[in-house]
Amino acid sequence: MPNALLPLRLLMAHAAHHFNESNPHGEKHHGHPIIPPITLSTVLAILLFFTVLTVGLAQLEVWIQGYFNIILPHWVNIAIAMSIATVKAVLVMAIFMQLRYDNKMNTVVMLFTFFAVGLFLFFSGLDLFTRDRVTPWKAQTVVKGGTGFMVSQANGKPITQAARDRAITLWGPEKFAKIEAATLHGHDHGHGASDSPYSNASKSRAPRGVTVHAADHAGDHAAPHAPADNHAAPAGGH
Amino acid sequence: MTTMNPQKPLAGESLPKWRLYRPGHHWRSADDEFEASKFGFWLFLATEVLLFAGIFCGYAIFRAMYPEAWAEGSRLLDWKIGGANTVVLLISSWTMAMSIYCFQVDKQKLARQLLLITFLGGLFFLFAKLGFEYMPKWTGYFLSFDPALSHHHGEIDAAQAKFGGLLQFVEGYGGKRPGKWFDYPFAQSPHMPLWWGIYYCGTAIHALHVIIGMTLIARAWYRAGKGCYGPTHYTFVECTGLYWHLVDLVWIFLFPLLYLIH
Repeated sequence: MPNALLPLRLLMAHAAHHFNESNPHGEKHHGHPIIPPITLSTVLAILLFFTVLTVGLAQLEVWIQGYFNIILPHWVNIAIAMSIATVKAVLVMAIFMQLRYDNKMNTVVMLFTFFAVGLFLFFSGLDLFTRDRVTPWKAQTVVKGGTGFMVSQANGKPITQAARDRAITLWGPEKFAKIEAATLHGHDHGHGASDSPYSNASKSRAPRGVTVHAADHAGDHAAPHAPADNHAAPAGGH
Repeated sequence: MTTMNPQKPLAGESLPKWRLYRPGHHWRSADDEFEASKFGFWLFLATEVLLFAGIFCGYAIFRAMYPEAWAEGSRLLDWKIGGANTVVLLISSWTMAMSIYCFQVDKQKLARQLLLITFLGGLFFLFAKLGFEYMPKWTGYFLSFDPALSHHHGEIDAAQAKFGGLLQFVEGYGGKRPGKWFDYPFAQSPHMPLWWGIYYCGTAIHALHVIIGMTLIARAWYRAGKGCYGPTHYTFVECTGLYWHLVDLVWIFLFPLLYLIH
């Protein structure tokens, strides 16, 4: 009965014409985005520019502080460096890693990951920085600045002090003082130029957080410029 | 059933392997296979980010607790080496992306050359890291052609030089090690070993990723030589690229955190 089946056949023909078996739900096709070289090269140029910028600004902050003899708030340094890094990271992810062109699901995965990293940071900080407020006796375990008496091998001294004592024993006090002076104060290149990372007479103020010789009299464990007792110092050296 | 029907070679004709590639039979199409592979790789990259999150979290917590140690430690790193490595990684990320573009438009020779340059970028990064940073800081031995050596001419101990002068020993420079290995005599903050712990963990796990990435790139280069990748099939190169960009991404954050913030 060809006539009886005609409507069905017409329907099938219609469906066969429109139905794509490899894409039955008619999903939007993402496929293989081809990113033109000019885009990639522009992104590289921007990334390199931001790298120079972040290094330059970090140097500029140090210079401003020294020149105007001011102390910039600590967050300035962090905020500038991290903002630039974030911009760079977004550029790499959006263009080099193609998130801008891809299935949005990939972006969702990445955003959720950063959310998880944020949770990780937040709760770690919440724990460590508020312990003393909940149970005051725990303050001792997370003292800001801490004690530094961490390893039994250092014989009850800070590891840094033990290293210092070993060097004094190994080199003798005079040689130690000479190398220490060169390391902390740098070699004088004349005209006030020095390669020391620390403060010295030609730099008007010390870099924040670094006090040269601060550890010299830390504790009463060993006179700083006298050899420590040998049995306390493990065979160290270089 | 595939949108990309592998062509059958005519008699006497040899088609490149990428033209003959068929996706797994459980995929509707080669594009589905490609997108699913890529999505799976993104999930893997998410776990990689979480791996590095441990280091970043440790950095943030300890930095807040012991700012003097971080300030002092950061000053003992040379931004010139870190900056050079940043530039090299960025350029190698670009060559990687360009290589994928070349596979997409079937410029086989250029694609392989770009992969090779990417590989060499990774090699340079590792060499700078080991030769100019890890070795002097850990042992006190400098490569004789290290420009930083000139700052220490007063402390060079010629008697301890090794390998016919290739390695020069600078007294009082080494010993910048993590934890109980710490042996640097001039630390001002008692928490400096902790800084070196974060520094070595962060950069060494990153360097391990550079090595893994280079291995993947080497494989892509080798297989590309056999004609395995082309406009309709380059999934492995794509995922290798994603991995390499992640290595770059981590360094984009490690560089300012370690070298610039003080």
